[in-house]
Amino acid sequence: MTNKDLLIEKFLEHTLSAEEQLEFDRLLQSDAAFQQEFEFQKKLKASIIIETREKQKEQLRALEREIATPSRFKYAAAAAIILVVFAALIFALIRPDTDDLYASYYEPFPNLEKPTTRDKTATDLPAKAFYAYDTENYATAAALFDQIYTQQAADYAILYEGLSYMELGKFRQAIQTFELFDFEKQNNYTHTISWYLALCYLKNQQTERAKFLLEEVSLSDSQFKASSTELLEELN
Amino acid sequence: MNEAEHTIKQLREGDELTISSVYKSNREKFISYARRFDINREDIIDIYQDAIIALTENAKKGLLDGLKSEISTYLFSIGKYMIYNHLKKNKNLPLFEKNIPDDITWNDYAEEMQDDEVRRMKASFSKLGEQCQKVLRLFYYEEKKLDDIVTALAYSNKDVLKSQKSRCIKQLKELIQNDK
Repeated sequence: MTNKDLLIEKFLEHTLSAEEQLEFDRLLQSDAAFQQEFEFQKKLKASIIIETREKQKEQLRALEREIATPSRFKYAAAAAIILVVFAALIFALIRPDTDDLYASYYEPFPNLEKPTTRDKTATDLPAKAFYAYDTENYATAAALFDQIYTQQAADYAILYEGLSYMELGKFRQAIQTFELFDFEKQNNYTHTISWYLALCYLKNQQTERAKFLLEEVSLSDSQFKASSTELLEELN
Repeated sequence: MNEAEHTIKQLREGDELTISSVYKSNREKFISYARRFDINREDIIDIYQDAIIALTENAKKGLLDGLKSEISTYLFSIGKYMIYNHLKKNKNLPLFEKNIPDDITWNDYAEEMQDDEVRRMKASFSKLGEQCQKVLRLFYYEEKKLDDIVTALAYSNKDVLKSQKSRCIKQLKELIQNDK
């Protein structure tokens, strides 16, 4: 094994000394054959990793199949499916209109963060964003809150950007925005964002997702507890 | 050795029962969390499986040794990152590049998976004998040092291992060449 091969080996082992690292870098810059061999080994590493992961994926899929349909339930599941199909047909006839529900439950959410001084000349980004929001310039507000989020990933930016999109009738974008929130956090925004996300799903005819979120909010202590409970009842 | 350390050791050795058990015990909570996003159930399961694979991979690379948090927490961190990645890919979110949490290592090799050369290598790798696959996996996948591989596979010494590795790679190159 040549010294160059040894260098590549040590690189992959993470055992290069400082001197060896310099030599490695030098060869990588100047030696075409060395570059080629290194590229080969990099790709080899990637292919082995990908192949190994695929094997493990197959095993997990088999495990999932075991978990998901324990065979003793299969016949019961088949019968249940038939019943569900009938029930769905019936319920489809008396399904509540999601647009109407959205209209009756949606209320614009006020600016609780920065009671603006209505100062048009405010220069900091949050002040500008909230001013736009307060003056119902929702397109501007959305863009500004997005900037704030890009800079600092602030939760309030997620909330108000999503709310702005809702006001603009852009529900897909509102959903994408709200999804940026880390729902494992239990803070002042969690249930507000969940509530409005639920309303977006409702508007988008994704009732099951809406119900899931509404259930969580109805169990919380937030200001939307009562509304979620009511809305859930109407959906069920 | 406490329970968490024991589980990590089992994961590092690829113990299937332990992997199964970790899979089953975290599954509901993950699905529950992921349901609020605009992802269909099949994809949720797919992402969960990827997270479990990442967990076991990192365990094998020794990255979980001395883990301060719970395994579930670690798994969840990876999972949440993967959910976000999935959302971004499928919707062209022109939004913030969420960074992978500092204490997690993960590369999805998305580009490499599309590379034809990599695909050929994968196919040829599968044709190698079991011993070659073992040696190469320990070195390239588990990132074990050669000294450790000598011990793990009970080779008489490092030179014997090195020449085996050399032969395996030479064989692989031939297989790739024949495949063209």
